[in-house]
Amino acid sequence: MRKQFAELYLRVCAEPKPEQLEKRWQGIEEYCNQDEVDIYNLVKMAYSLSPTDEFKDEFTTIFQNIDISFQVGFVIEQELLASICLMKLMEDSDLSLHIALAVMCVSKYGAEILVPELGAAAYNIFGEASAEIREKSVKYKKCSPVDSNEFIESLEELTALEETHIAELSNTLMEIAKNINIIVQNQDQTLNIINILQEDSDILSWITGNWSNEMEKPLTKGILPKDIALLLAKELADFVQVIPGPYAFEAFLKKMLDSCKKDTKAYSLVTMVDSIDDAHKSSILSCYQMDGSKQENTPILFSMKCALDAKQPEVWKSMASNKLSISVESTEHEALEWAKLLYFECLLVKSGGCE
Amino acid sequence: MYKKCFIAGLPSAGKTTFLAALWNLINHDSDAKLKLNKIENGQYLASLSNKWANMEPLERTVPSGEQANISIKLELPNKTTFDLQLPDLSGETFQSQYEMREISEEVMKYIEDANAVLFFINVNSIKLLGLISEQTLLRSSTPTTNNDIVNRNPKEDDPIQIQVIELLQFILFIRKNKMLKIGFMFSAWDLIKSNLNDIKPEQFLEKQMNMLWQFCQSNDDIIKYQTWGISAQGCSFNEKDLLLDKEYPYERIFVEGNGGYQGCDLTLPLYLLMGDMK
Amino acid sequence: MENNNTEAKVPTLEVEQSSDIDKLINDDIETSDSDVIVEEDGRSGFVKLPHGLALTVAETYPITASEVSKTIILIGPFDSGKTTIETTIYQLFQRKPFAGLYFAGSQSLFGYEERSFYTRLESKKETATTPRTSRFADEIFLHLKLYDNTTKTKTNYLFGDISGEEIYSHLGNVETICEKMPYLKSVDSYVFILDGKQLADKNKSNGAIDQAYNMARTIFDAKLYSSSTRVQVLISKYDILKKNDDANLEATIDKRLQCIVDLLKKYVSEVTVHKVAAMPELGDFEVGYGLEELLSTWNKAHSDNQVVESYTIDCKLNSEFNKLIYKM
Repeated sequence: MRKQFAELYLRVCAEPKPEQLEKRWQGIEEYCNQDEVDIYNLVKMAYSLSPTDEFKDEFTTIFQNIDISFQVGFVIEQELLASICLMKLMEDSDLSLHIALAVMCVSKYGAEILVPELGAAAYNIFGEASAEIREKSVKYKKCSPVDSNEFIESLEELTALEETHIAELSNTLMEIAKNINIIVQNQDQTLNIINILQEDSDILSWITGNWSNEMEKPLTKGILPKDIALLLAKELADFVQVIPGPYAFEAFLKKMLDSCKKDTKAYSLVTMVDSIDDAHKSSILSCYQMDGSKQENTPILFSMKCALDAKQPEVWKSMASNKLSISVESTEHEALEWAKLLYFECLLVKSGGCE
Repeated sequence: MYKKCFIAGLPSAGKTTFLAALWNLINHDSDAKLKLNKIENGQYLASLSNKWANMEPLERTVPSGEQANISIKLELPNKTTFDLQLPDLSGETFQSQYEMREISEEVMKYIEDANAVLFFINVNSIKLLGLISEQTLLRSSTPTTNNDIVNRNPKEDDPIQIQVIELLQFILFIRKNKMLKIGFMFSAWDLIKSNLNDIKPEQFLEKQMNMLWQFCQSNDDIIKYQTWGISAQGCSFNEKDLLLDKEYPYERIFVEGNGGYQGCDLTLPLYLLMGDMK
Repeated sequence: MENNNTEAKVPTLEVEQSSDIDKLINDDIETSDSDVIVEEDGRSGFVKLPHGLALTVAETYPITASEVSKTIILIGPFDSGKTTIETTIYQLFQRKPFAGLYFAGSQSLFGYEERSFYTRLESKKETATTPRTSRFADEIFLHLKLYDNTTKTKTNYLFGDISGEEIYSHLGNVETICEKMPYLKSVDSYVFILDGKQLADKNKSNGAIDQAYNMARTIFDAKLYSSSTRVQVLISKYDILKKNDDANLEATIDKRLQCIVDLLKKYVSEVTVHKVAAMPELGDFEVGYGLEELLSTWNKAHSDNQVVESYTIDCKLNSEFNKLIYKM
């Protein structure tokens, strides 16, 4: 990552001095080594999506403390540093999947990011993690037999415990404890497998049934993809028991949408959100909603909330655009792409709740 | 309450004539938006105003003759009074900034603290860009000799709009991109009106100084501008008899704003630019 | 002009001191490698303002670190029209918005004016020329900030030019070019310029194309590009080439240019060909012919596939459930 950092830093400083590079890297390491990192604001900073002032102060202070000439006004440099922090955290921390989801939720809104490699890395991590769930074989540990009958019989005749008895008792108890741990681990793995199999079963049933749980009716050629895509994404996310969910999620969404009317038109976020009624919006938000300012990291869910709160159709657009710092009217994708994005957002909420 | 207005412009842009006419107006015209509340240290302006009233040519302000601390106590329509400070700097000072790339600390401080800027541009000084490649019948019978080719003299040869843009950039640089309220004052506006009767100052800016117009449009987050056409003199000195016949000298003044205003109230640009007077 | 750039620097423009016509259009590039910068002692009570000349690499940092920026490097032989292209774009903005963009400022206005003067009637020259300016070796970039009225965004353009001979001197020795010009790694666009005047001459045409091919090869073999770098292959002085009126010649040139394009597409995904007559000598072409398209190319947002965001993995799948990704 250090070598890649030196290459990437050229995008904001064409000829950096070695000490400048060193100081910036020090700042990155210092931020990443903190006990708590604010992933959501880091993502906002990397994608120019208006992070909070408190975060900006905290982030820039780290670099200023190391290099007094670090300028608070150099926002492009800060975007780059935030991107590199995210890439570093994705490389070597337990937060990698969570960060990947947070990045994927905002990477398709047309921002010309300085480090497009960040989005690529996020997708890569997501893909590997989701494939790995069903690719890796489960290894069960075997409990070791504890032959203690003779020992137990000898204890029954004892009137007092001697040292050897205590030692043997201790060993036996340790063996038993070890075996209990193994059983617990095996149980956890079994539970995980059951969850995965449950997930597989639910999803396959869902696809076979060709039915929308939210709309409570079958999918037909009379339904427009834009009217159902977001609902299908939510339904698929509901089935996910083991984050990050199935590797073939896109194929599942596409399969369901293919049952509807064929449509390759691109739609704006406004159109997609306005295509579903308030009851369904509420249903989605009742299951998937971030807290506080983190809501802005899930643009589709946030837009739904604005649409519900605003009451008037025209009002919510500007509200959402201002808060999200993206244009909800100009970013356009096909219905499938919007479904994928909402799916990522639902997974982000799910994984955030698990922290 | 103090308000500072920075007056800028290249030589012969009409800065001093404006001050002379302004002084005359606020001393006599009861219809002006801003009125003179009290005369304090008005010798310099009074002297200018007298010459202006008699249609005597005003001498160019030279760097040694600059008046950096002119202050006038004015009264608003609601009877609130305030002190307006506006320096009369030489056009050479601005030329020097452009060419030598330096500014006095005193002027720099003034710019930092200014509430608004009046930037004077003489319409006569504006020349359209003429490119050699667009002249098809250029070749003469005798080739041009080396002695004919002119060396560049930045203050004379660089287009006026470029010099204005650079000076504006200096102002923004000094103010660290703090919001700038600026009034572009096209002086000798009588010449424009006689040729292009219907053109408004904003249209003139867009047509004749398009790059400057683009600059202002692009930077509307830090520049709030107005455009005014003014003729503080009223006409050229050749036709002065016509104007000397007017009952009051200030009636010679002609001011045109983009909002449709046409009149002689030279205080109007100041009033509108200075903003909130509470 | 937002950032502090008060380096005391008043370089003397040699050509402005001399009206010797030969010196004005001398093909020999003059650069000073001297570390001595002519510094005027700041007068007491005065503060230095930004110099307004071409920027050094170090002076680009406050711009690139604070605002969206694009670095455009023009590479071509001596007298191929690099500076003319740069200055013509600047001059066209003096008349009206160009390519849907508005002029929003420049930290190099003085530098642009130095270079533009001899293309104007005021200079009393008969043909437009862009004089060879004596410059300090590291004053490379002319700065132009442009505002896109559609997207409501501002972009800083940093135009630098390098002579083909300078690149050529590093041919076969990529380490030295990396050492001398490391800033090239962050370039947004390379513009390889072929001199239309040379292309119009059958005796020089092949040499010109080969030179461009080798220049491109040197740059890309030295890995002086990134995933977002674009390339434009440009024929300058297109009016002179067109005057030749030889359809076969132009078809041959187009075919050979395609070889350069094919080479470049091995390294980057966006390669376009442009024909430009920035300051044409003859009447059929308007000033700035081809520049609007060129500027639009630079201004275009990067397409999504520059860096591919894909979650599909390369290794073999065993799980039947996973395999549904390509079965469904």
